[in-house]
Amino acid sequence: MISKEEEKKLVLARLETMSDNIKVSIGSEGELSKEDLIEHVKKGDKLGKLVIGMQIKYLRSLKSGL
Amino acid sequence: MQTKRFLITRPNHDDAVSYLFQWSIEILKFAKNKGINYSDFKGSKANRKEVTKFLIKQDPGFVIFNGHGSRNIINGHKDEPIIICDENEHLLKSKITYAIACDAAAELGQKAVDKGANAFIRYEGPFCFVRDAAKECTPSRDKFVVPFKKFSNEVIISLLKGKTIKEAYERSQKIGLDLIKEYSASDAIPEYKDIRFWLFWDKNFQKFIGEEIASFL
Repeated sequence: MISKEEEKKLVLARLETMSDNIKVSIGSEGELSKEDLIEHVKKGDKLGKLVIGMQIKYLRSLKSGL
Repeated sequence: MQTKRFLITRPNHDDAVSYLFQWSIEILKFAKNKGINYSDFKGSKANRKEVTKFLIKQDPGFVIFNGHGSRNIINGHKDEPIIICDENEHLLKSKITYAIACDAAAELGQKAVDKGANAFIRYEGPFCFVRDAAKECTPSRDKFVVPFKKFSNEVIISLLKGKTIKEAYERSQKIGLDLIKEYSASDAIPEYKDIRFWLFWDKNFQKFIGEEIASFL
């Protein structure tokens, strides 16, 4: 079981590998770049926490074969 | 008397909804080819006054909302609220609703079903998709959005084929999973790894409530 801080670091490391050629349209938040997402995760705001939560869930799903 | 006609809102006032506007063209072509009637509330027509009037007078059996939203609102053109929780969700009574609008179910969807909506399929978080940063002006040429379009449109196509809401949801979920696997087959295109995460995101947040066997046709 990893700590919240470790989860955040893991997700930030994963976001760093995000392609620079894309933007992600996130509902009413608009179009976000890699840098925007990293900022939200660092701030730990509502979107940032959602991204962390979903990234961890995704990684667990990959581990169990989706 | 309820009509076998569906209503679709297609605002296009910002980049995100412009993509949804484009995706829906495929839906409308499909409907036309199948001889299914629809009313297209595009651009500024996607407003509360016109949509409300249509919902009351024409009583369509299926309603598709493209746009932004929140836990208790579905928006239309320029984010004007069209359906507001505790105000007019009763307009969705006896209908199947598909809302490609963020969060529009946690509260609004449940209340609509409580007030007699047959079923409500929606996203419990922000609906997301990956875009090619270089294709901003030509969304129709953006290949990165294709899997997201396929995933979302499958709900509608399935319902237009006469499937139940449960079947439409399950088919969309299966397509989502198949697409994640398809985009996992190779990392030759670096953007694929981002696509598969955000597909997982949408797949995870897509939910339906209401009568499982509800169908449009």
